[in-house]
Amino acid sequence: MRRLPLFKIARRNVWRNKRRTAITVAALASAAGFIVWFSAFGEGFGEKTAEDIVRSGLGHVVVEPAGFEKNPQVEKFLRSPREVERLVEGRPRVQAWSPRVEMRGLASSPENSMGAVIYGVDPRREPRISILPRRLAEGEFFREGEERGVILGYKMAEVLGVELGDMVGVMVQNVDGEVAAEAYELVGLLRMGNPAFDNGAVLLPLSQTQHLLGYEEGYNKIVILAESRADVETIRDGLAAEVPPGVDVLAWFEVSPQAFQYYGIMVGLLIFILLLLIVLASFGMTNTILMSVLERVNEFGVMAALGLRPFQVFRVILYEATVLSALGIAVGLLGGGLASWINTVYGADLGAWSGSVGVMGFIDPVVPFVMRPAHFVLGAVTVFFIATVSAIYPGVKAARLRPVVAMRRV
Amino acid sequence: MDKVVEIQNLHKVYRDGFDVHALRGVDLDIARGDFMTIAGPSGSGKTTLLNILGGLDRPTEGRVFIEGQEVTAMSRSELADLRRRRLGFVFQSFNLIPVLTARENVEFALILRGVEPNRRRELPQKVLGQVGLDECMRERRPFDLSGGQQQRVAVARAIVGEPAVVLADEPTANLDTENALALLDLMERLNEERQATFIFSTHDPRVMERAKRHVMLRDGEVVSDERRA
Ligand SMILES: Nc1ncnc2c1ncn2[C@@H]1O[C@H](COP(=O)(O)OP(=O)(O)OP(=O)(O)O)[C@@H](O)[C@H]1O
Ligand SMILES: [Mg+2]
Repeated sequence: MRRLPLFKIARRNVWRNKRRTAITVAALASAAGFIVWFSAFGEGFGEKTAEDIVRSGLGHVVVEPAGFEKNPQVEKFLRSPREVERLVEGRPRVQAWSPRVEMRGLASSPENSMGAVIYGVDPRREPRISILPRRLAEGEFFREGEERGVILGYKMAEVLGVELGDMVGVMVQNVDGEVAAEAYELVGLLRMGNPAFDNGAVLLPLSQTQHLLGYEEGYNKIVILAESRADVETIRDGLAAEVPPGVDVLAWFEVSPQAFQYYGIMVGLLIFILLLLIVLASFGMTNTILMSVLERVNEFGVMAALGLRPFQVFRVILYEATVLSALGIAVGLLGGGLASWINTVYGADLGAWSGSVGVMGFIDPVVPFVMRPAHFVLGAVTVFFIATVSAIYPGVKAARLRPVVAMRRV
Repeated sequence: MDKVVEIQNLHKVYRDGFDVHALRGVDLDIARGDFMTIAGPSGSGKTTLLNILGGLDRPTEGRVFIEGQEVTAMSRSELADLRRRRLGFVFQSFNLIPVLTARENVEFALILRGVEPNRRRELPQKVLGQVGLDECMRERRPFDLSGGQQQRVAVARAIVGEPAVVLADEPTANLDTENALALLDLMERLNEERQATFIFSTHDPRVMERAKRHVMLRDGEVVSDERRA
């Protein structure tokens, strides 16, 4: 069988115009590298969004009174939570759980007052399911058995003009529809880096909120932390089948659909950028290859005169693009991989856009990238696709050159 | 006579804004082993005729047969096959594939013909020797060879596969006298040794002197057809 050295010819052709090759390879490498880098960013962004939301107290799975999510009224609470607790305790793939009370209310100082979200947290269990206890700028978290004091978001404390040791008033509507108010000593300042908490969170010991709202033993949420995010659906579905009527079991992304939306936006953005990249790069590269074909009309004339079939001439152009894309992919994956790796270690500080990042529920503005083999595959496949598609038109053009026309350009 | 090429009433009209009647009814029979020049003033249709003979272009009217096969009725890929198997070309310039060395250029023609690997390694060296290309030149790329050397490689490539017909369009036009004569000697010798049919176009009186047969074109018509003893 004869094997024409078409690939050899293509490979050598690539080296003929070193400048053009360098520019083309650099462009393809940038595309591949950017895809790798941006995918790792997107992945990290998604992970972080999810993890931050989960770890700031939302949990992976939440058990709560039916309809509480849509309409969190004070009358909706788990009256006899022991039954549900028994279902959760010791359940496979459940890492930890904690009861919670969440209610809107008012916080006030002698100087000022403002709306707040009041969290009643279990001093013993809360540290296992959220990072709130570890995010105190000042003071200390509640101690077990000593259920006193209040913790405020640090900005809220500023607005109220209170310091540690000052008294803070908390006012809610209780289960009987009456206004209930109590004063607590400020024992800690919460600093999450997320405005929702820093500007509006009031933390009280669970027992204090139960007392304030008139819930007795009841509360309105069980927050469950799964061993991993992959277990979320299993736990949710398992629990949902067992809980008594009137109780909802929700996954984190159902409780906080905006987190999921951000994830969707991120994926959408990635696809958009990819398409844009493909279109732009393909145009640029088609142009470059076409130029190189038109410069070599004579050569293709010679090849045709030697008896190369049009498809064989086409393959030379296609192989040239393949060689270029292979070089671009190699350089790009290496560069993009290295850049992403640096970002997996140091993270990307989105502090510059912190205005919008805050809205996303980030605990801090540093996003650590997450690298996956799939990102490299995506980068390589995309660039290979760009190069191949770009070779088609110039290749057909070269193959269609009638030898006599080609030879006349001598 | 063993006819290798048969040309019947060939017309070519280029429609390029206005019509150019480049060939006006050419009839020629060419015998195997002939060594023939086609001469004529510029624009007389020499290149047009060679292109149509080689299946590089199609006539407006008329028929061409090579070894009994009608070239003018062939498809693109049949033409490619014909060129690969039965024809050799030498052009005025830009004959070689620039990224292949002299030897690889010759070998390329053999691969195209499906010659087996062993012979593919030996033959190019032998033929490049016959055309007088020094061994040290054979691994150079065309860019690093002189015009005369390039033409020799082109001739080597054209004849290495033992084609029925070698078509050469002004192969000496870019060469000085010394090189032109050397190339002619070479082609003459190959014509005798291998019985390959050579058809080439030229303006060059030095070339015309050497041919066994000498056809003159003017305005797309054969005005004389002489045979030398
Ligand atoms: N592709 C083309 N389109 C239009 N006209 C053409 C084309 N090729 C050749 N011609 C015209 O046809 C005529 C014959 O051209 P041809 O190239 O065959 O002449 P030639 O004898 O080879 O000339 P020269 O000695 O200059 O090479 C000329 O008038 C030329 O201008
Ligand atoms: Mg000519």
